[in-house]
Formats: sequence, C-alpha cells, structure tokens
Amino acid sequence: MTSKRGIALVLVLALVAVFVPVLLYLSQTGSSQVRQAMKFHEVQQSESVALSGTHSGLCRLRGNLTGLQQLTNLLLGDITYDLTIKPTGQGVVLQNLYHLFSRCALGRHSYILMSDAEQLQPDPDPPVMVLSHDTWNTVEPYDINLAADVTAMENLRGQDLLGFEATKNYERSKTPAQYESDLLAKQGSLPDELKSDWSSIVGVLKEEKLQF
Amino acid sequence: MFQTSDKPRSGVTLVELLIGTAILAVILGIVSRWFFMQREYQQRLSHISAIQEDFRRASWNMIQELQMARVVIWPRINADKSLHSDTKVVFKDFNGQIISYYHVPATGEIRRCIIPNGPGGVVINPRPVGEGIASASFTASSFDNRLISFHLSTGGVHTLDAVYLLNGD
Repeated sequence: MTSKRGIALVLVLALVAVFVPVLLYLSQTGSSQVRQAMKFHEVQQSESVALSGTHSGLCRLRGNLTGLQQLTNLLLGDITYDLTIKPTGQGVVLQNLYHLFSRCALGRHSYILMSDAEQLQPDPDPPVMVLSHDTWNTVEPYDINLAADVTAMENLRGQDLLGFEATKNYERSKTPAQYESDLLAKQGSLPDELKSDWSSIVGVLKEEKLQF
Repeated sequence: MFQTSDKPRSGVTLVELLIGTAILAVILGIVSRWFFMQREYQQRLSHISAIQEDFRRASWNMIQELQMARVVIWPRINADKSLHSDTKVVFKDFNGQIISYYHVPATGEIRRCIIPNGPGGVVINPRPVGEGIASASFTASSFDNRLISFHLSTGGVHTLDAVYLLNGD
C-alpha cells in the first residue's frame, strides 16, 4: 500500500516536472520570437522615421521657414521624432549654416542622424526665373526656378567644380610619362592592399589621362 | 536476533527515489537542450541583425560617394569580357581625385584613402568606412565603367549592392 503511494507520488512529481518546463519552454519560445520580430520592427521603423525627419528638416530649411529651432516632438504618422537645429555660423554668401539632428526612439532603439545644412536668405522678391540647367552634370534633370537655388547649388558644388578644374588642368599639363611617374612615386605611401596592383591602376589612369 | 516492527512504513524507498530522479534527469536533459537551442537561436538572430547593420552602414557610406563619382578605374571588365572582381575599388570622385575603398582582412574593415590627382601625398582616412566585414569584393559590371557592384559577407551573412555613377568624366 505504502509502496503504491510512493510510486504514485513519484509519478505525480514526474508529471509536474514534465509539464512545467514544457509550458515554460513553449511560452518562452513564443514570446522570444515575438520580441525578436518587434525588435526588428522597431529598429527599421525608428531608422526610417529618423531619416524622414532629416528630409523634413532639410525641406523646411530649403523653404526658408523660420522658427526652426523650436521643432521638437514632431509626428510622422503616430510616431514622434525630435528635430534639432544647431546654428554653426555663416557661409561665404552669408547663408546660415546648421547641424540638423533628427532623432527617433522606439522601445529600446534610438536613431539619431546628423546632417550639415545651409539656409540661404529669403528668396528675391519677385523670384527670378532661371533657365533649367543641369549644374551637377548628372543624368537626372534638375529644374531650377529660383535664384536662391542657383546660389545654393553654386555654394554646394562650386568648390567641388573648382577642384575638378584643378585636377583636369593638372592632367592636361603633364605628359603621359610625367603623369605616370608622378603617380608611381606615390606607391610607397599607399596602403599594402593597393600596392600590388598599383602599376596596373596607373596604367589605366595614364591611358585615360586628359590631353591638351 | 532481528527485531520486526508492525508499524506501517512511511515515505519512499531508495529504489523509488532513484527511479524518480532518473526520470527527472532525463526530462531535464531534454528540456534544457531545448532551452539552450532556443537561446542559441536568439543569439544567432541578434548576431545576424548586428552584421546587417554593419553592412548597411558600410554600403551607405560607399554609395553616397560612389554615385557622385565620375569613373571607376579599378576593377575593369577583363579583355575577354569576363567579369573582374577585386577586394578594392579605385575611382575618380566628383572632384577628379583618385579614391580607393579597400578591404583589410586582418581587421575586417573597409578603409578609404585619397590619392591626389595632382601634387600631394596619399591620405588614409583614420576612421574605417565599414567594420565587422570578413570579406568584400567589388565587381566591374559595365563596359562604360560606371556600374560597380559590391558583395560583403560575414559569418554566412551576405549583402550585394550596385551603384551607378551619375556623373561623366
């Protein structure tokens, strides 16, 4: 009789020991997968909202909207994001320069994006119509219809275009042999990963060097 | 010599205890294996997520500059028109300067260096463009040398991206 009671007790204990961990396991499996999915969702969503926030801030700057420093707790759908603009000075044509911060926090994930931005003084009044011209020389058309756009693009790309002009002039001023030897002379200071193929790379550069 | 007792036995015998313990041990063994497998699965997912983030960051950095560049210098499609891949890419940027992204296997980094197309020395950027990348290869994908694709991989996770250079020579 006692022996039977003992066996029954052991069986009950064993059953409990089976069911409790199995239930725990099942609940943990389900909840962990849901958590993982939520984590991915939050990562993706906070990143997208922060990126959209940056675009929104840049559009506002482009539109010359004032009172930008108070842009906090904005909404994208039902998700909040912070937009902070920190003035950093003035550019060569007296445009205002900023650091634009866009932050979105969802759950335990937080994304902050920083971008350099510049805002030109209010547009001329009345606006000056300028012919459409592809200043960036890209394959995509870029319509310009405000003088401010032209100035902005000149500021953004002017320095780059001057640099491009300098490199073109340098190439034109050298004979192929001079150009090749100048580039080969830089091999010593190259990282190891580039050294092995450098002479072939210089061969291509020499072949495509701009002529007079 | 031997004393016997008429009192009924209470508790469990050693054999019953041993059987119970053995059953528990087997069950615990099975269940704990499931738990460890589950934990490993979660760790693997987190690891993959971190790698993908590294890839996204590296791709973003490279694409920003590459799409504004003018021409890819290296790698180029081979003379027999077969594809040419390398662990580095060399191109002329918007300013006409020679820029290279190259993979450093020892540190798992993609680094950037500027080779002035004119006077001046080579400048290696102090910060890597990408980190946590076990292998990287850049492939010339067009005859006009304006399309470059790159493949990054780490621990069985891969990404493949392509950039078309918007600006001409």
